[in-house]
Amino acid sequence: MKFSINRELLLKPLLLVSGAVERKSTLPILSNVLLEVSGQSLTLTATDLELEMVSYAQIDNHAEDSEVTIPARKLLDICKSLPDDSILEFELENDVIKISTGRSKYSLSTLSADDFPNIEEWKGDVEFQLLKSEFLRLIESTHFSMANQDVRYYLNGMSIETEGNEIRSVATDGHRLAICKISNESLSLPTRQVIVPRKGILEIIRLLDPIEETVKVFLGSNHIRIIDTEFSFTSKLVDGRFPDYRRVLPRNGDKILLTSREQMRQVLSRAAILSNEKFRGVRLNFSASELKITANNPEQEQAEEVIEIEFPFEDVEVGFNVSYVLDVLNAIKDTNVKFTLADANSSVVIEGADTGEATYVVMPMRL
Amino acid sequence: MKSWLAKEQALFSQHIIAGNLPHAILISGVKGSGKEELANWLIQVIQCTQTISDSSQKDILQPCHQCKHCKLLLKDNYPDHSTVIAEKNSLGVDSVRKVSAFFERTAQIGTIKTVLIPQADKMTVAAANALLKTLEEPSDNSIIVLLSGERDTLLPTIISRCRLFEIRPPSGDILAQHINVSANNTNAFTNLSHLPELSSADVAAEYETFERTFFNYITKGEGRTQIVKMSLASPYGLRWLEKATTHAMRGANGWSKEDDSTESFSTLLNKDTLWHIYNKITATINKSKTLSQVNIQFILEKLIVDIDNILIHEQSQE
Repeated sequence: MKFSINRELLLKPLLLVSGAVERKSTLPILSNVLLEVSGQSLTLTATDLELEMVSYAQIDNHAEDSEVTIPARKLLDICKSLPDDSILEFELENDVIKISTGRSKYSLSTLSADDFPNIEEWKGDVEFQLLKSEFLRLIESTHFSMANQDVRYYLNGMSIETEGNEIRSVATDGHRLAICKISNESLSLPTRQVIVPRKGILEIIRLLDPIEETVKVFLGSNHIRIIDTEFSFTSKLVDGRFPDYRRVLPRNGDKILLTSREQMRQVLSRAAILSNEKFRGVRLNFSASELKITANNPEQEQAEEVIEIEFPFEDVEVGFNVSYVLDVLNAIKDTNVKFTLADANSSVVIEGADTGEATYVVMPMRL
Repeated sequence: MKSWLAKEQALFSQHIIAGNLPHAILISGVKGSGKEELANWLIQVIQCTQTISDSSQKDILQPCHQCKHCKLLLKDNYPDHSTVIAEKNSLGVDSVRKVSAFFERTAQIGTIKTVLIPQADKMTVAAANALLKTLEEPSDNSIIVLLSGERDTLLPTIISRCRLFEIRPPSGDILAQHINVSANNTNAFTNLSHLPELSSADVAAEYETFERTFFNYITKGEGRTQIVKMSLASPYGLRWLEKATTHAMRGANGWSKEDDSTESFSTLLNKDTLWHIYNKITATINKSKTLSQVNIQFILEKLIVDIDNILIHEQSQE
């Protein structure tokens, strides 16, 4: 192995893959990055056994194709601290890789590429293309509802489902549920459901920019893979069955309230200040012309807010965890929101007034 | 691979080919019976992408040692297998929770996830209880293999959730053909738990002295302190007490075919007395295995006092 590459060309793909390098790993090889030279292209791969990141760079190859793994952290630190536009020469001699530029010389120890647990040829059974901005919207509308370290481990992730021309994302932690649907007439997909772990979802949000560029998504029985021009990201899935969320969507909602999202959000976040810090309960009294929001805490302090609404139904009094409602109001982008209520013991359905893309269900609290 | 494992290997191979391998496997056997060897073979065969079978043993699958999975497994870098080793004297609840978390994710490069717990009897009660749910209903494509030298020390709730495989190595002369015996001291009752004496002439000589002292003690009541000292000095003390007693019982019952020096004085002892002594010894051995912070010197001295009482009782009856 012998090749040369400009520092800038190497630094970007190296930074991308270094996110997946495990720091406190039990397997020494996982702190290494796999370099594969093939023709004039270099492929970098890193994995922590849950996520795998692959990125690419163009090189000037001076020898035959080969592969090796080298310590990722050290390589990154060296590249970062070298001056701009340096040309790095890599040369593999026995088990040592020599990196030189100008008068600087470094030699790093390597481990055999055969021992690197990278996923080789993998083909998903469902494949689709969509805009990055759309995919990001699909995930960001629901990701806050994922459970965190719940014993029901299948809730610690997001269910991504394909059916016909529709792609859905569903997340729930047992107290609230978020569903987002994106349909595209050009798609025709088989019915498929996978649960992407929490870590994978957060990494996808970090990787994608909200721009009008397409990205390829592959779903398989064990992995989800996202392929962009610069990188390929693969995550393991959660091995479990996601609960049937359709059964928890309330159907008995007959009282509909339309109100300004921003006003509601401000009122609730003010009232939240004086709610119980642990349980975050607020009381909502819906009546014909006004909505009264009250909160109190164990120190006997009280908040009361009133907003004008039009609610031509029976009066309803219902309690909610205010954080759940605020999360929803922050995720919705429309100017107006729609609340669909039934009674004090039923869940509320919250949706944007204009687009029907995302639906949120929040369970009530007994106060 | 130890030759007596062929039966188990054939059974596992059959299960793998039929695709109905149990998800929780408990392999038990004494030290030296080759349970680690069997478990490692099993995991390699499960994970290998192109298993082969020898021409000599057609019904036994073998890993190819060529594919990526096999190579990674040999280097301990295989992502879909994890071996859980006790870091201290016991296997704690955190290690077991990691196993459950490992099974929650799908496999990385293969399809089946495997976990091996080589010292399942070192699990603390809390750890064993934390494992129960995973053991009973792991996610799909998950296989957990437990190894244990002493199956009785595991919680009954663990045992009942596993498919049990007990390795029973051959005994007597057949065993002597399989293993490398240095001292010529095998008889029809030799079994694999006697491995230390069989493989080292020094240990064998040590045992000889021990047995002689012990017989002297139970027949004539001499050398009481010596017995305690010798049992404590040897790592096999308790087992030797048991072995010597069974030897004496065989002598007393006339089961030993070979001409035996023990026979002469074992007739001095009542069979019932020997039986009482034997029961005391096995009870002590069980105690030493089940109690985690046991004081060996204390229970040994207590055992000797108990044996004293039995001997005195017998004399008073006469």
